Amino acid sequence: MNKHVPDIAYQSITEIAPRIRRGALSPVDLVEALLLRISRLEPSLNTFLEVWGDSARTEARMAKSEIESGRYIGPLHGIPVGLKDLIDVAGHKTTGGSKVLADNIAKSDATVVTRLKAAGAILIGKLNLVEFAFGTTGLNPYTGDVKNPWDRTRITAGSSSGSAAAVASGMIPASLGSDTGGSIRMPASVCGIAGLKPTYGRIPRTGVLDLSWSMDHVGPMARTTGDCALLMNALAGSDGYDPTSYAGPVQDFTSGLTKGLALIKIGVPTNYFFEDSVDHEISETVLSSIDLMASNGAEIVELPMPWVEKGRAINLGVIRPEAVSAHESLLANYADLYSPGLRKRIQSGFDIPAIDYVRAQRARQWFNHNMSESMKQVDVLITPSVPIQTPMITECTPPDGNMEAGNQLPMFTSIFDVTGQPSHSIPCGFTSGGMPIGMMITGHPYDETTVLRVGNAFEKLTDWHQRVPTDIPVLN
Amino acid sequence: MRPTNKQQFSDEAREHDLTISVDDAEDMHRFIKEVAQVYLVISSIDTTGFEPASIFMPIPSRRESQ
Repeated sequence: MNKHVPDIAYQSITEIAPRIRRGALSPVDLVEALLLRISRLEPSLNTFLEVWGDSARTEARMAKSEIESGRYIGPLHGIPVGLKDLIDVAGHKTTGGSKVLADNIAKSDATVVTRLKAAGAILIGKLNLVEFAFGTTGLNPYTGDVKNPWDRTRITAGSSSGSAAAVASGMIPASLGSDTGGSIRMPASVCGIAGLKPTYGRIPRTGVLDLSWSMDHVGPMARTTGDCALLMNALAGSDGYDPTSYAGPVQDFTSGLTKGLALIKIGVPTNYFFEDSVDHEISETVLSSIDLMASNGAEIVELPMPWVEKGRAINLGVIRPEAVSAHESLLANYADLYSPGLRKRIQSGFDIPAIDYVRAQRARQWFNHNMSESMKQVDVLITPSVPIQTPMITECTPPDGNMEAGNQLPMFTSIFDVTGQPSHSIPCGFTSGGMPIGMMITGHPYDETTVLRVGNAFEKLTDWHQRVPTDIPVLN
Repeated sequence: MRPTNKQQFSDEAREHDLTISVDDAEDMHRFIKEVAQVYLVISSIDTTGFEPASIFMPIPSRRESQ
């Protein structure tokens, strides 16, 4: 793997923004460099569903002009951002990676799009995803499989597959994804980037396709923790339309970034997340990362969590009926346009009795109570993001593929969709086969600031987030 | 009463305006088994006293001034 490649495409927003602000880097040049890179890499990675070259160039010229005339908005001004294709942009298609919505033109911008535009970001296109975001491997029979930039024979995980691979390959510095069982953090982990699932409700979902409304989260994916904080500053806060969006105060998410690890209590679960069934290279890498943080001021607290293994079942027990409801009307009219696999998975949920859904929601309350009690002892939990090494695409492709990988990938991430806690995956090492390993930092609800503080402190101690894939050429 | 075989499942689906062939129903029995396993785990949890707090929340409203 390369280190410190002097390529503009691999610089973080935190590095690029000051150069744009002082006129040392033009948004026009940045967009041109990235569009060139996209045109060269896209055929082999399949990350984008649409690239908006013309409008991106126009927005870049406007940003340049505004900045030159002293109207600098902030750190996202002139920064290209990609969107998972379940987020509405007025006048553009929102397909959800499906045939069903292949001609679905959005009438208005999603709240997150309005906010990115207000922050001066340049929208560069729509990113590939799992069909209707209902899956964990990143594979899509209609839009094609996204290839992992670290090894194109391997999956990116999903469902925000394009969002992760586009950032990991240096096509864009940041993207938006969504997370219902781990769909931001799994691909972030597997592709070696940072991905933050904020607290449930922190970012409004107005204009974003539903999968499971009580579990769905929208969040940033970027090269570094600091970049995720910058995006959070633009995206967080109630919009008055999404009734689940949090109306409480919104802090400056960058405010704690440089406070380091002193007095931070890190909870390390003694069961489930580090058991023998977890890949040893992954668990050992995450444990040595925790040791590194302990030797730099953090206090480690071992936490028995015997109840936590029920979390994945609760996640699925809520998602299935909500997904059936979300798709009921579309399925009634366009069943033949769904891929057979997804259609059968959704239709199999039509038979779930109402009492099972209510039981799942009650179990969720029970689970949240237990988590809340455990969290009283610590500031954050640290665990692996995923329990297995990144499978080959062929291992996950029906009819011969092993579906078990798709079930195992979200075993850890889905826990925190159930609780709605902020949860952040960052790179913390590599397997002996050269694939990224992700570490998950999870905090108290509405305390993204501490999660980001711990993530940034770890990145200051290591350079894993600066590694880039070897087989992707520098294109400057 | 849940359907006990794929033909019954397909028939019941049709009553609900769903397109599920008998062949589909066979595949779907696999998914249904997975779903049943999920709720088996959930049913094993004692949730006494853990009612969800916000299944329903009134939407604030008031008469507009004239």
